[in-house]
Amino acid sequence: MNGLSSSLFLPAIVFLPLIASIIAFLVGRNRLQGRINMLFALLQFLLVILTTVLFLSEQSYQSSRYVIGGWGAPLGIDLVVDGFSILMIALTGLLTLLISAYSTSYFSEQFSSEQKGLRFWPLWWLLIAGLNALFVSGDAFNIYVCLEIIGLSAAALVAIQGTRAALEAALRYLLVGLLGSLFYLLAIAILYRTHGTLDLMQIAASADNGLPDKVAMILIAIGLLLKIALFPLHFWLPQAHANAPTPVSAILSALVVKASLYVLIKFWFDILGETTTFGASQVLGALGGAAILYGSWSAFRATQLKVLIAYSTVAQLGYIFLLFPLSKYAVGGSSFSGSASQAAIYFIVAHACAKAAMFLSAGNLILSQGNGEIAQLKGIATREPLNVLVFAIAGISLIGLPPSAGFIAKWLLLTTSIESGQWWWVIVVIAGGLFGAMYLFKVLGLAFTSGTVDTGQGNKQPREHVSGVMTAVAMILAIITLALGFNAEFILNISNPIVEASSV
Amino acid sequence: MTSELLYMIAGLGLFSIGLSGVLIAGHVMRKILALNVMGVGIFMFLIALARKSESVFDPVPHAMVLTGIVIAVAGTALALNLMVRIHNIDETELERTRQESAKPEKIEL
Amino acid sequence: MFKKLDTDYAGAAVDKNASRLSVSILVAGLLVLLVTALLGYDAHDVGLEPLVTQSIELSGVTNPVTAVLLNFRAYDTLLEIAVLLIVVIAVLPIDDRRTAFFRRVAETKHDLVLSALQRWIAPALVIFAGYLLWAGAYQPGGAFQAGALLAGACVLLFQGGTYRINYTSSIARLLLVIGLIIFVAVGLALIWVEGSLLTYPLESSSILILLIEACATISIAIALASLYSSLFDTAFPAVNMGKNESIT
Repeated sequence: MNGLSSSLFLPAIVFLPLIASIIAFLVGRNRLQGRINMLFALLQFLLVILTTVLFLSEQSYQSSRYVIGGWGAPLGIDLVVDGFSILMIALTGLLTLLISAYSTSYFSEQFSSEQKGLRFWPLWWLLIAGLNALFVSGDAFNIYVCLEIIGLSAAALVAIQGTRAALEAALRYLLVGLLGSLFYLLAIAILYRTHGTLDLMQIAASADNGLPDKVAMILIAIGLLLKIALFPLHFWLPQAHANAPTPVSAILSALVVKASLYVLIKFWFDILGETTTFGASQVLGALGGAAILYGSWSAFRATQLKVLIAYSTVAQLGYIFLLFPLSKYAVGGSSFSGSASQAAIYFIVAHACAKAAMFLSAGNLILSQGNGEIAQLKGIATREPLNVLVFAIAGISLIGLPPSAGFIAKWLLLTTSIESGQWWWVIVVIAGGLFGAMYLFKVLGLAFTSGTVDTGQGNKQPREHVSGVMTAVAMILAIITLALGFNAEFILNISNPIVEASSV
Repeated sequence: MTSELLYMIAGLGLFSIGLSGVLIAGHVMRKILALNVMGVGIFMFLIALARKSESVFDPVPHAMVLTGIVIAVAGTALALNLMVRIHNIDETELERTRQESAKPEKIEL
Repeated sequence: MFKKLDTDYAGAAVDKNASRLSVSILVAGLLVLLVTALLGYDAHDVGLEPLVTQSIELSGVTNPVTAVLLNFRAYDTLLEIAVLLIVVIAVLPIDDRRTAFFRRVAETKHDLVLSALQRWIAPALVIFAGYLLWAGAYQPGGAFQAGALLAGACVLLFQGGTYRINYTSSIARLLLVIGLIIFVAVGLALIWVEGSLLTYPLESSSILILLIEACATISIAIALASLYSSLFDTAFPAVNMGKNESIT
């Protein structure tokens, strides 16, 4: 043990949320519950910041490992962290802190304290533990366990409100998640049969272009695409994300789908990089393009605010999938580096912040309005100016207008597609931006129209007071989205230190 | 062909049977059972590949199966619970409409 | 295929909208691909068997599967217990926290078969669970098997609606998480002692594994029992409606 190393903190990143979950469950319905959880959120945030700073200060920029149990791979399980995973951990830490703060006041009105203390907080922390465990995992089977933690806790959180729509969305989400995990598990079984190890690096070292590896890659791709909800496998996403409580919707759209995407990127580029081809990547790209167009169109037609945002997630995930065709495919393997990967990473971060901000502000608007009908939002800008502003900023980032994180992400995508000579993706990206503007300005236009709609019997639910904390959290996320637009190189340097960030 | 290979093919067969069940089954219960059949197929595959010779077996796939079983139990329990809750909501709803229609004059909602 | 989730008792066996032909073609194609990948390519010669055999003396147990589960890959098992906990939290029947952990809610019915089963089988199950837990160190057995047997005993006791467990009482909540608490605590304490997560010292590894397994057994038993109760309580709410007042 020479000095402080970032890898020493990896177990703590997983165990802190686990402990938080146990304590939240034991404390149950106590008035201290909110404060305890805020304390843990802060601790977790500081821990993540410390780990990130240490990782960045280590000059090597190589992935660092933590050996659990003193056995070492392949017998034991190793935790591994590299630039991409440290970025995802940092993103998780930040969003956990902000959304936890939002959650402390969100449930206060419409939710019994029993449900909140005994179900929401423990499940919330288990979900965070699963996400962190996934991002630091270096073992194929361990990733399966982490995927199940994420899938089950996310489905349980969607169901937490107990309405019929929420239960059905949760059940569909759960079944799809289980199906996806089983595909992944079969792929792991096949990989273990061929390579005799579960460690990702060792699989990568002995992987070749043989049929078993190809089949494993196909199975992993099918399973994870189901979980990521790439068009046409997106059918479960809008209902699940729209029927969940607002903080859960935010984390589902911002991080949970990205967790499966993270695993897919790892396998596609690093571990089984030998098996993936340019042709296969074009298929993923085409599905991504279709997702952009279909998602935007469905968002435009949505009548519920949260459904609109959920369809927007379907569309935005499509952009990230353009990463696959735009990456370089050399003979004998591809790698997750270069401008396409930078664009994708930037897109992941930008979308996570913007979408979380948008869901939180939408949740505030819905609370203030009493229901989620888009048509009822007319004139809400006068009553909730700050939340409408947050919604607008997040929308600007999603459309890709400057100055925002989304603009830089799209710019990187466009330049990469021109550089690689695949001009057809340029059309898709620009068309997607236009569609995005269509559905977001539809909402904003209504919000700024003066006068309120005649709320006859449609508005049965009482309007609730939106607390200052909830607005503030949404505002902070919106400011982060804007700030990322000015500080592009920071993110790019973390995630891809070897390739110098292209001047933006 | 060794007997392990036969078991592995049978495991893959079970996986496929389960998969088609998930895709075409109507009732949620059938889908949940089909998911379990898929899982059992994978477990069978893993146990068959663990056997390396007459007396030598690799314990790691066995451990994977044990972990997998617990996870399958957990997933199944959650799915069944959600299914039953949806069913109850529907039943209550049905009961209410039945009572309302039994009354001579209907009350507008 | 997942558009309509049918939960009706009299629901159709096959989804009418699903195209059986295309599903069969897709699945058959996948099966052919899988079997071809299996037949044409040899497996890895030995897997991890030599490594496990080599290190088994350092693991504190002699059963290789237990060694993998609770020592070499103990981290997976820890997360697996967390998976079970997720589902328990999600479905936990919420009860008044002041009522007792285990209580009698109705008079014992004079059902000869049931009471005989409860009197003879339930204690035997408890003993057998203890044996399985102990035997796990050197032959097939261990925490999950023992926990499942204990849960079976609980389910037997629930029959007839005489006994109930209040899963939201403080004791029940503690028992539900005790397995995870001890696992996490031991794992973290070993960072101080041995310098790395879940690294058992050679001399005390078998006793630590037994401690973790014993606590995990309790948690798994209560967890599985709560999964059963949650289904029973939600499925037949009317049955339990008049029984909420404790008789004892």
